[in-house]
Amino acid sequence: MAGKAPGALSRLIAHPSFRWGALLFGIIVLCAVFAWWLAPHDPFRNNFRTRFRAPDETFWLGTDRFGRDILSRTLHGAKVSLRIGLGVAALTALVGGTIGALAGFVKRLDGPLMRFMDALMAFPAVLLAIALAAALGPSEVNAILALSIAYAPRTARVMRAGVMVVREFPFVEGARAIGASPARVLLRHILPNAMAPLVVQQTYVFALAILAEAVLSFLGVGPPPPTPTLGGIIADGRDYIQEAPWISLVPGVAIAMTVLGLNLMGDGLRDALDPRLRTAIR
Amino acid sequence: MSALLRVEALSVAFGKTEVLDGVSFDIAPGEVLGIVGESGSGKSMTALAMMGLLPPGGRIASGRIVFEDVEVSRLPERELAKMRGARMAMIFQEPMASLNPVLTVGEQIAEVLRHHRGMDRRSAHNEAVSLLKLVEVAAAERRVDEYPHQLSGGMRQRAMIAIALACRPRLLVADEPTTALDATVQAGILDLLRGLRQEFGMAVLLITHDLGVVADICERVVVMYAGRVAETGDAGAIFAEPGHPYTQALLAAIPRLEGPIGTLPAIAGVVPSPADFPPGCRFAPRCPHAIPACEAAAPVLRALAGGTQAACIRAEHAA
Repeated sequence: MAGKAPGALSRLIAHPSFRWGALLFGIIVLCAVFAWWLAPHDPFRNNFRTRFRAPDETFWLGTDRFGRDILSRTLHGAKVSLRIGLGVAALTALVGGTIGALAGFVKRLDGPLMRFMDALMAFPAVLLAIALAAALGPSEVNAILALSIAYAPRTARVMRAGVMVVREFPFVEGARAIGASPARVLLRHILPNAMAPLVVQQTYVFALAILAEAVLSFLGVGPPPPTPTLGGIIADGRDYIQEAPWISLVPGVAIAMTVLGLNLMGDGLRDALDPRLRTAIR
Repeated sequence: MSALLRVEALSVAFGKTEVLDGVSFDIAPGEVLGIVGESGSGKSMTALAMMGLLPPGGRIASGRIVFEDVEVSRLPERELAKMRGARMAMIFQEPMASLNPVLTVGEQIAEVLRHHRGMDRRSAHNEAVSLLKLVEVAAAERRVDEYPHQLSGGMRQRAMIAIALACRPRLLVADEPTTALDATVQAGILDLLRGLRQEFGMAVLLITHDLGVVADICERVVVMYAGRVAETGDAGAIFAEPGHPYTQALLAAIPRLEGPIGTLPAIAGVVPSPADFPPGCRFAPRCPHAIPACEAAAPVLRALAGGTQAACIRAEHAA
């Protein structure tokens, strides 16, 4: 049976890849949240005397061409990247989830809604984001909007499939037999049982959005400078990759660790919430 | 006393395919009526039509369903939803899958109470406990806060019955309530239904393919075959002097404890699918007593000397 049976939480904690993923992601989130306290330097302050410093005891991870501290910029950049990832995961869950649930539950809406999603899916996410940034101007909110439009169809597909499976369970007919209205059947009986795949999917969307944000910032259509974003810092270091590789390397590793942590958590969630794999977890 | 529920010449069709053809029967208040038949005979479809829960694509092509002098088959969905669970309730075959796995048993019982009887959370919870006690679930105070997967099959079916009983319905439709349960649990559930019916004067429509269950609890029986009523009458008469060759064959196929051990008589063939029902009597191709006239026209129900009504022109020869 789909759904979070009691015990899912303990299975989750017992799952090694979820534990490591949560640890890694948790550390990154804490670093980002407390960036203002943790960062040793002001991430925006230019200092021409400290340009292109290699990592030393003052600038632990070096400086960029304006003499700004890479560690401080990466911490603040992670904050922006995580905000974008969270925004995209939340917005796609809301919009894509609603569309998918309606498409899966109301047969009449299935065709039109999903063809519309297919059409959106056909657009490359980055192209869509560039177009939106060009139309509305580059900003954090527009990046979230663009990536959410691009990723909503995937979430909608997962939600639709889940709803269609649960819709056929006898307890749904049972709910109708006790007089529950269609809205009530969907919200109270179907959705809670179809949530598990959505939760897993959203951890991947979170990771995908962070990667895509890096691409957008690298291309110069993410949040505009001087706001530090992980992709933006990588782009800053692009021209000096031979002489000062730490500029691009540090935010690159931060992105990799964030995505790795999220994906490990997603795998753990998937195993813990998937009844067919339950026995495999020990 | 007038009938609680009347089904009059009910036909249900999916597209152009008729799965029910002119089904008629009635249930008096407090009566237990059994509908028996093989898989595919239309028993469950009849029940779903009564509840207004036909699967997508199915529609009532002709005929009427009248419940408490209201024509159910004409009611809009909103009115039907008010009636379902309150005046007329249904329990299903699969107690394993008929409860929502993410809600506690108590929450599911309380849902009906709050929805139809407007109870607040606390009194609905208390009422849920007393309903579980009513359906003889041990340690009801503890069970009420448990999830379906923590209960045994028999207990889940009792919980389903508790949900169905929550609003004291006038009619309980039980679609193969004991099929998925083992024999001792089955007997317990039937005892429970019998007791509840006496306590509340609730009519029960019991759908089953198990003639043992019918003999145990039903007062009257409707035997269905391929979407039509083959025979109907008091349970005693059906078992003592079945008129329709199909009923006779069903009864002959029950294993007996006494007498010589031999091959169990079976009915050759299977129920035809609705797309290729034969013309005339639909049982004729499988009937040992069939004559060419059987395939000419659909037989109508007629009273027989044995006290039952059968849709068979050869009933006197088949006896």
